Amino acid sequence: MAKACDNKKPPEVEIQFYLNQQFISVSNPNPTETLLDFLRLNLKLTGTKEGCAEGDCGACTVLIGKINEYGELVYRTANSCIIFLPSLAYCHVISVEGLTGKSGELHPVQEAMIEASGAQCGFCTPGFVMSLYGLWLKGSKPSKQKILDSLQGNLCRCTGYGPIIEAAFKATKAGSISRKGSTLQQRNWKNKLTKLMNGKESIVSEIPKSFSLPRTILELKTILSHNKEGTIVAGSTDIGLWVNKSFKNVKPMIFIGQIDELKHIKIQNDKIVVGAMASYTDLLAVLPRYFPELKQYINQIGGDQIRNMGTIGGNIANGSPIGDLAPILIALGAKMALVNHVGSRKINVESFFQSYGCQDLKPGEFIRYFEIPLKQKTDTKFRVYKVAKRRYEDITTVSAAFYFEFFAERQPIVRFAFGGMAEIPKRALTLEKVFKEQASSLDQDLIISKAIAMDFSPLTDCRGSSEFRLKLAQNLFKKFAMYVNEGIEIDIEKGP
Amino acid sequence: MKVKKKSKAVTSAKELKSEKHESLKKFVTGRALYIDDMPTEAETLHAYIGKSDFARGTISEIDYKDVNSFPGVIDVFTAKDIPGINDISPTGMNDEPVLVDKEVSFFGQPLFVVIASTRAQARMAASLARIRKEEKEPFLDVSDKHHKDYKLVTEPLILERGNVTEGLSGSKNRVSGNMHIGGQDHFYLEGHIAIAKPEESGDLLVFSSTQHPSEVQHMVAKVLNLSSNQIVVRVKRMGGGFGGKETQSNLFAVIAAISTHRTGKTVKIRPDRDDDMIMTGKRHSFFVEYKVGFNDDGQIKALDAQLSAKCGYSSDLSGPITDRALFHSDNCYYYPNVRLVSKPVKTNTVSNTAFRGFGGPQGMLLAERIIQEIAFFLNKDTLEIRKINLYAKGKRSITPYYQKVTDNISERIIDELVRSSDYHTRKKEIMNFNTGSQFLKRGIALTPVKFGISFTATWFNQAGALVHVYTDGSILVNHGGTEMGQGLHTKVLGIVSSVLGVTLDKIGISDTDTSKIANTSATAASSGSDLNGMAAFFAAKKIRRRLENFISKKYKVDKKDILFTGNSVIFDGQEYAFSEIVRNAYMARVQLWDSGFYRTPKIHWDRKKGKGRPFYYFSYGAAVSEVLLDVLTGEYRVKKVDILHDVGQTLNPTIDLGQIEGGFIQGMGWLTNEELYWDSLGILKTHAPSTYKIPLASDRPDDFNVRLADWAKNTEKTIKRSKAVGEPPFMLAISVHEAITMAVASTCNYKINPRLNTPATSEIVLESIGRIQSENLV
Ligand SMILES: Cc1cc2nc3c(=O)[nH]c(=O)nc-3n(C[C@H](O)[C@H](O)[C@H](O)COP(=O)(O)OP(=O)(O)OC[C@H]3O[C@@H](n4cnc5c(N)ncnc54)[C@H](O)[C@@H]3O)c2cc1C
Ligand code: FES
Ligand code: FES
Repeated sequence: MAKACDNKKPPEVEIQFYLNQQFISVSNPNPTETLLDFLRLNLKLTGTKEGCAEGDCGACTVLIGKINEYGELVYRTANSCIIFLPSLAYCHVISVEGLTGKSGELHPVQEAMIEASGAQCGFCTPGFVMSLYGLWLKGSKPSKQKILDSLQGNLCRCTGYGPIIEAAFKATKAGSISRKGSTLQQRNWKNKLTKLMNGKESIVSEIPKSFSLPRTILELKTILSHNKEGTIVAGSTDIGLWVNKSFKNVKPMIFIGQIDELKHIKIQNDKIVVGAMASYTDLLAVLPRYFPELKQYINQIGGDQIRNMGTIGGNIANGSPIGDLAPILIALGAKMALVNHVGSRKINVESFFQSYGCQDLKPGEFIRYFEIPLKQKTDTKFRVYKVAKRRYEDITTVSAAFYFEFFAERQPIVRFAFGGMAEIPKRALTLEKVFKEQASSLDQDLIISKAIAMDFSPLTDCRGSSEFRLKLAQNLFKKFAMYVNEGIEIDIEKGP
Repeated sequence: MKVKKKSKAVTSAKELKSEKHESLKKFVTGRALYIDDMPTEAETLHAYIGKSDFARGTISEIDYKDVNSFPGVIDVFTAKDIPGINDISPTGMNDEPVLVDKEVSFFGQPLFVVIASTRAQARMAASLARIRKEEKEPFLDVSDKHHKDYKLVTEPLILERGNVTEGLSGSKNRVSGNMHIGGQDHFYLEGHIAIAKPEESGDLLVFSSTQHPSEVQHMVAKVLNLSSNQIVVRVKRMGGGFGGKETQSNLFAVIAAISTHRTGKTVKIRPDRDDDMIMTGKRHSFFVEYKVGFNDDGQIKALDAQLSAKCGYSSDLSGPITDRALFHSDNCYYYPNVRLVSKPVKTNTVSNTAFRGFGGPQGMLLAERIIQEIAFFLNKDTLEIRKINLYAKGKRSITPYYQKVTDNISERIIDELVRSSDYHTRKKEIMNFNTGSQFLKRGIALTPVKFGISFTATWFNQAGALVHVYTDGSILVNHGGTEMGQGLHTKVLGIVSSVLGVTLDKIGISDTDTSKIANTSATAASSGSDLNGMAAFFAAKKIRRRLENFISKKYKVDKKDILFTGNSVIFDGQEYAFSEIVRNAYMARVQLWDSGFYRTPKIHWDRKKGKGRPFYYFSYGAAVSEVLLDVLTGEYRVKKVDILHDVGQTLNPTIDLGQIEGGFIQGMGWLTNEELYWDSLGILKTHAPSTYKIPLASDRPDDFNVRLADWAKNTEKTIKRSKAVGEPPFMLAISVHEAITMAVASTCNYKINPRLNTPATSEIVLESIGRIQSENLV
């Protein structure tokens, strides 16, 4: 409990966490200081590297252990270059320096990297080692696909990846014995973190200051009512770049990572309710059970680190025309709950996007959760596609989500939503109409292309020309139509 | 101690062969030091470059008010403050100013430098200058026919042999066409960085992430008006280079040096990734135009081609790069009549530079395009056309630059690979598949590589090394090459180890340092171990000879009967510790350290005449790639790759395989996903990993087999008859491009050559499918 301040000094704020074996307490941190800079510049721990400072290369990968909303301690990889210090409160951070034992003994993933010669220039190596460590912690014998998924957030320009993949196989085969010891350790850490967290107050204040760290929705409402111009920080996978690359002033910052209520994913009768702070990784654990097609799609968002950090709330709130969750939520007819200190409202996700950079989010409001209706019928047709320059860890050129529910007695439900085709994520209303009218004969290229051209006039940029985007939209729809009419799926991932 | 048998082998090379990279343990623990990790004084200052935000025009005024008043800013300097010569052009063309204050020639051109207490302050302040300017329309596109007034950055090269005009007119068949070949960003994981430290009386010690310490030394001396002996440049390791740190590190090193000169403090400069990508040169994009004449069985009669390169605003290394493009426009094929012309075009973009292959890959793409054209025209298998055109003996062994190909093993490599990859059966099976599949198509292709080894600037083909044997028997090696991940140090250590019979744990290698070896060449052109390895070999050999002399005199044994192995010296049935022999030799005043010097023999090149022997030897290889293509989205996956590659007698199979795999994947990136995009104003839009996509682990072929042609031997006397390995494998990836071509062409039954430009992004693929399908209807 902060003491009453009779002197004029602003109250001391402490961010406390563990780094490897060390307890760290930072007083009055600059809330835009990144973990990477803190490690390298303040602590002179230079094992963690900066390759891009924008979450794309993985050279800065660390593990963050956090007690989640269900009271479990979970370690996940993250990009330290876009994590701000306040996000680390009550966490256990493991950097590459923490992997090696006291007397210098190597961890099995390090041994495996040496054995497989998984490094040439070595600059990407600490990041890969940490990603492999994250994989190793998850349990033994992952499939090749799992290994590749876990390496999507790390770039290597030298090796061609072969030896690193080999190291992943080696390490995860060998690790099972010593992992028992680590379960014990985890229990220890859980106790430590719990102790650290308990008895601490939320960092909130009614006077606007550079940041706050609420723990409950109530606190968040209050803070926002006093800091209407403040920036909500969720996973900081967007905001990290605004700070690092655009020098944007984002203070005061309101970190919502401590609010457990915002992280739950629940099934309620005919819908899934997803808290705004649920990460892509959290979504992957639940959504594919109801929508199997989302597994591949969500795996095409960012790399593992970004999926661990980025949230559904941030992905929608940023209003990006190429945010990948928007077309899905729109096609599924999802709703979202917007809350401020006076009340709350529920709107369609579709209507949240008004025009470029302009969303239906009032000052002082935040997104609390999303409601995704479950399919009403088992023969509902739902397909999602993402095309980018590179198949994994790349920003969308065109994404599409097609939803078609057929009823004998009434109008079918048809929602076709696209990303990358307009200044906001948007439905193709003409195409939907044409489809409803002549669902079965809809492989006529001409009609489709005309309808799409009426719905969209996409722009040309470094990700693709306008013509290319139109062609893609048309062909993605063709894929869907083939699936609906003939049950054929075209997917190079699955092969011929 | 008695040993039973004298073994004949003098070296223990076999055991050393698969030595792993010397720094692996440091890499995996995060303890390997890169420049940014080096501890520096607390009062170290930080410099940052203020750059132009437009591509071409004139600056009328820069307002520095906000820059100067930003917290932490200590100094701001511009072009007029440079004490020496404001130029860092590597070939003496005087066309590359460090900073400009009036005429801007590309987006991202350095204008001024801010020095501040922290990097964040310097970086932020550098973004605050207000620039008043008059913009002009930039020259951007080398294929643009409208711009008659494009200038060249340097002298073009013409290679001509036979009579092209007659050759073409006398050919039964003729095809002409063109191709756009994209550039490539190096995307070394460690960006550029330099630290300059003040030494006594104005001297400087510079740490630079550079492949060319001597050049950095010369440039620093030049801009500061000092002499070379006042500057020491040191390099421990780089986090990747790939050619991007051959000349491009000069800028950052000289700025650190000027900053130190002005402030008297240690100064560090490290550009942000985006600025690194904006401010430094890349692989040249090319526009090639060709006319080829051939007979009915596909044998080439004549080739006439012009290769225009987007060089950027200055010459940098564009001369030798476009030369090398011409040198590789034949790849493995004999052209009876040929004319190749380079056109190094000046554009308002960052000055392009060295990148693995150094123009060779672009030239080789032309050769393979010619083969494609013939195959499509005659409706034959590309492999058949390749084989019929391979270099052979006698007259058919002469290159367009009159060097004879005497070490040709391309046919054997191709035949072995055809067999081991089961090329013919698979091709048949794939064609069948394509007939029955409308939206998924497959493609397969085999392409060979022949790559010339040596710097074409003959004088660069020299190197030096120092070997010190200390009295405790430990050894320290130093040589002029730099380590950037390619395993050069490991190879050199292996060489010294085998000469002196000392295990690797007793041998160290110290930072590359201009005060140890003078006048070094860039670690480039795949030549690192050929040159430095040989120099170290000579140095070690001299010491060994002296030890042999000493032993033979003192112990009265024949020199031939002395064995150096496993940290021991064995003679006369006795085994002595190496350290003991060394100590005895020291006491007897034997010199235990020495230098070695090597220059590549036999090479010469007359650029004016276009004749000579620019290359000491050639490296060979071939690859078969198979792809699966989604015709609706233009996306594809590389399913299977088989490689057979020639490194002569390998110095270290682990390292060589690593170079081959890594080179292949990097080449694949160049030809597939890695797209550089400038908008119409000349602003580079792909300057970060979010927009510029190098291959990921999941892009690696599902099935990837690499074999060394272990029967191959260098016919020239290189170090242990090995061959260079850095660059040649990069071009094996052309097989991927060609496999995609086949898959695309299958959409109109292989009747039309889709003439895929590179990189073959999904967009290019879809566009090509659309184009050939509509051509097919006509
Ligand atoms: C390397 C990399 C790869 C990426 N790849 C993809 C990709 O493939 N597909 C894709 O769609 N995106 C991608 N992104 C973008 C990014 O991951 C997403 O947009 C992410 O979902 C944002 O979530 P966040 O929690 O990190 O948001 P933050 O960065 O924390 O915030 C983003 C914005 O949302 C606001 N916000 C966050 N939560 C709330 C809330 N509950 N209520 C109101 N406002 C809120 C913030 O104030 C801010 O304006 C990538 C980003 C990086 C760095
Ligand atoms: S530095 Fe590249 S992801 Fe963090
Ligand atoms: S080893 Fe150099 S980037 Fe991976």
